[in-house]
Amino acid sequence: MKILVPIKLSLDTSQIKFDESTGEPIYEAIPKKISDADKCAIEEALKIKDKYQGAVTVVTIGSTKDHYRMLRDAYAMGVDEAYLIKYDSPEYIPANQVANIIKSFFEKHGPYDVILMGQWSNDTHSSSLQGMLSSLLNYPLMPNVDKLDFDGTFFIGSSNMEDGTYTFKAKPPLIISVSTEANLPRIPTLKDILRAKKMPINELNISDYIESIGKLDIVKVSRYVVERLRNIIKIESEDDVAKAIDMIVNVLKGEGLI
Amino acid sequence: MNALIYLDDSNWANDALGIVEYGYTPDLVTHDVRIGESLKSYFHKVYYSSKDGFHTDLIIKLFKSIDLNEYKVIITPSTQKGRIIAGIVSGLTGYTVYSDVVSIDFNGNTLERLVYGGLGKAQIKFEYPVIITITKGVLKIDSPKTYEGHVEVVDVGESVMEVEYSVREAVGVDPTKADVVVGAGRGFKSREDLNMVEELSNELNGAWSVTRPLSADYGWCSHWIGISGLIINPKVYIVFGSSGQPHHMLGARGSKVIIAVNKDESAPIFQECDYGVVGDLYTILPKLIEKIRELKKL
Amino acid sequence: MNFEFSEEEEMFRDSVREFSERYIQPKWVEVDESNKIPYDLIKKMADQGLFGIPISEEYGGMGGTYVMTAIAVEEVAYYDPAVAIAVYLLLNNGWPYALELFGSEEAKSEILPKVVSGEAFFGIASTEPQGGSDVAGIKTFAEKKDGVWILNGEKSYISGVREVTELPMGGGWFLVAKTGSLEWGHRNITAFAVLPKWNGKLKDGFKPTIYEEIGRGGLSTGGFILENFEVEDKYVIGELNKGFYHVMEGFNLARILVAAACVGSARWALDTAMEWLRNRKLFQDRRLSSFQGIQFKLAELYADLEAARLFTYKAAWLADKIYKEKAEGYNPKDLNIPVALAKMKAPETATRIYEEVLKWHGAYGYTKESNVYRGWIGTFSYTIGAEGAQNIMRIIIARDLLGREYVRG
Repeated sequence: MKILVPIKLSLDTSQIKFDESTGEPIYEAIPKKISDADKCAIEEALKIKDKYQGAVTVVTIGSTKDHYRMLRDAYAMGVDEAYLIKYDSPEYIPANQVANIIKSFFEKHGPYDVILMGQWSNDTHSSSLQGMLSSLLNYPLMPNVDKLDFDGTFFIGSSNMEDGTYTFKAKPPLIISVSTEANLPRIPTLKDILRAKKMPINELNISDYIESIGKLDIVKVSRYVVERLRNIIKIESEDDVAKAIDMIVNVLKGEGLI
Repeated sequence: MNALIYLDDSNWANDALGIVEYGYTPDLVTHDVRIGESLKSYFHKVYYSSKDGFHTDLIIKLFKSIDLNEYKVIITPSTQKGRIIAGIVSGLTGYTVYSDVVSIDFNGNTLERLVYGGLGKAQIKFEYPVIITITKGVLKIDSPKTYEGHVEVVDVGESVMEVEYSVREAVGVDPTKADVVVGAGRGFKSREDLNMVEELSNELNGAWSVTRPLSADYGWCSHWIGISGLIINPKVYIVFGSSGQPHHMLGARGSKVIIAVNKDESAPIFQECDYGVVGDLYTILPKLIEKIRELKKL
Repeated sequence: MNFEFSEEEEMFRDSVREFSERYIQPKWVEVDESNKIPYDLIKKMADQGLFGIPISEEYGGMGGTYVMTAIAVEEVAYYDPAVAIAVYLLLNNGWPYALELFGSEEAKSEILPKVVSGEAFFGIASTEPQGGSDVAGIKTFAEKKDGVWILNGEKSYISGVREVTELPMGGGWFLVAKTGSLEWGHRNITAFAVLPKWNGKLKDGFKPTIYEEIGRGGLSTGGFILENFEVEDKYVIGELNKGFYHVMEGFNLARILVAAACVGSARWALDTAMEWLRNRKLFQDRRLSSFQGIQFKLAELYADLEAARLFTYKAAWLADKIYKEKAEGYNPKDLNIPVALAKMKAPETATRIYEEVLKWHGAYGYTKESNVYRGWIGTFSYTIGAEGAQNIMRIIIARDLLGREYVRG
């Protein structure tokens, strides 16, 4: 079974810092790491490889030291092949072009029986790539899976969507996207890390995979401040407690809930 | 000018139909027959598939049978399925998708979308045709216009995938449908203490839930509110002992009014609430329950 | 010169951090309160390969460097500031490595794989009731009778006494005893791998006691009496009557890791303190971090911590040059000063940092809820001594600087 896992280096959103004066993110101060859901996708792929025969390939678009490190980490986890499609600012490539690049990769290096990917990336949460790949490759999509099982023939995945639980059952070839609930990714041992040191990072030219690359016209990125009333009472005495209770009760009355 | 709207939930209809105020004629596409039938009078044309259910291969067929070139704007809701559909349409058309749009200027060709898990927003210049996944409130309309509602059922055949759907097991009131939700965060010290949360929700005929750590890590509740869990939009969300982490707040932002109680005044939740109390939930919560019971007796 | 860690070292550090965040951080307070490291945590650490870092692959180890070992201890200590788990880790890396350097093939193949798998404990037993620093003055005596060594004596303040009796396989210690004569001296000491419990069975002649210490309770400290305790010849470590020199090399290796543990724990103390300083407001809403007196102290303590850290990694790097690379011109004796510097600086720096951090926390720091005190008491054990008294480190340094002849009275 050949499994392709496209992965993305994203901003570590738990460490976002905004410049107080410009309001823009301080990009240099924000570390980057593999998207959490992508890491779970690698783990899911490796679980299949552990149990059944298989080969896991990861591919990403980028050029920085962090990209090489991400691929090296994937080798340490146990993937068989890692590819880097070289490009300087992958974050500006519109997602549907990313999808086309992956489609070209799929056609040149595949075909793959399964594409396993993260539901969404840490920094954009768009969740659009999975649908794009599904329609471009005409592979059915098993989306946002929290729990994946494979019995050697069928994949069974269950997803918690807003309206309820969906259970999907399908045979390869297909695309599966997983959420961060799917598993706890394995932590490589020192031996795995030393072995990964010797694995090759295959560099590819992006022009071999797409003719022309567009650029998202991002005018500005700033902190998102939700407009709220922010009426705060700080409890410093018994009186404040009564005031606070009254405030809450009045709100509930105002909304017709009491 | 025509707009194509995908809906999987009739509650989202009024959040997308505001497009008509910009001079667009709305068409509907859905894989759910009931939605198609119940909403058809608000749309010029309605496409739904011969087979119900979220089969992505059939949904691709459904879209392939529509002349997507007709549309300048394609809209899906900012739900899990909505984002996937947006991706499918983008793959079929090559149009760019913008997800989690919070504001849009159709004439100025700019929009703003959420990034960084809801912590940031990006202002982007876009070109038509465009696919947008919209959050609630962006294109809201209170009284949508009516149209002919011409229905076209697309025969999509059979799927290679089996799909089963089950409604979420709600123990008590479903938080995603309730008018008032009471939330609990890590300020609670034990599972027993959550009984107070349940009591309050009962007094208000509402629902209760927790933040992710209380469910996924401690196992104190089978569901949680957050970007990877339940998305709620009650009239009032009153949450105790939560610091207001972005992933949690993304699940709660749809609430009309947010009330927060936390003893740490620097907690981020106080930036995102309408009413806040900097105090000990173990003092406030029991007194609140008491007060409500008193008022109900009157 | 190169002050950077290699990519593999960074990857390894990240892997230990991820492991510790997942499995150690949620449990360290419980370990400190209950005075026990749960066996399933030890098993997880073993499965992650954390007990055999420098041990060669031949014996089931990871075949890593001593720098990697120090990295692992530092990171585990960051997530277990009370350091019981970090010390359990360092003992079961340092002393097994010493066994690998000096022990017999038979003993190594038998003991090392079991330590690597987490089933057995292997620490150090040198200290006796009449003294720890005075290794030449030990009184435990080993006599060979009919091809078997018979040991009699008493060891005290030994880590792991309870663990040896409780682990499935058992385990024991790199133990030093007098051979030939009981006279005070360096040339009549032999090192033995003493395994009071092995293959799940407790041997005769081993009488343990467990002490109740004031801190770092997750790892037991105790003593034991050996009464005609039998040790097979294959368990002699190194050369007969050369045990003093072997154990001193072992102490050098262990001390590097002790320094790493103190650095990791102290780093947690500073990080925790900085969060407190940023958020605590007093005197009309003024942040604690805005008071210059606090800023001055923080900078000084950070400088000391970084110095201790550099000493630690330099010593670890040197240990690799000597023992792993066997590089020409590098000698085990070269480790004496770098190790003494690290072992002197790191625990004392940790103690100073904790004292200050506790004061910054005010009355809250004095409560159990804050947890800061656990790191203070844990690392203080190394300021008292353990694996080498602080003043002995001073003597080692001064003697080397001044010259042996000049330090005698």
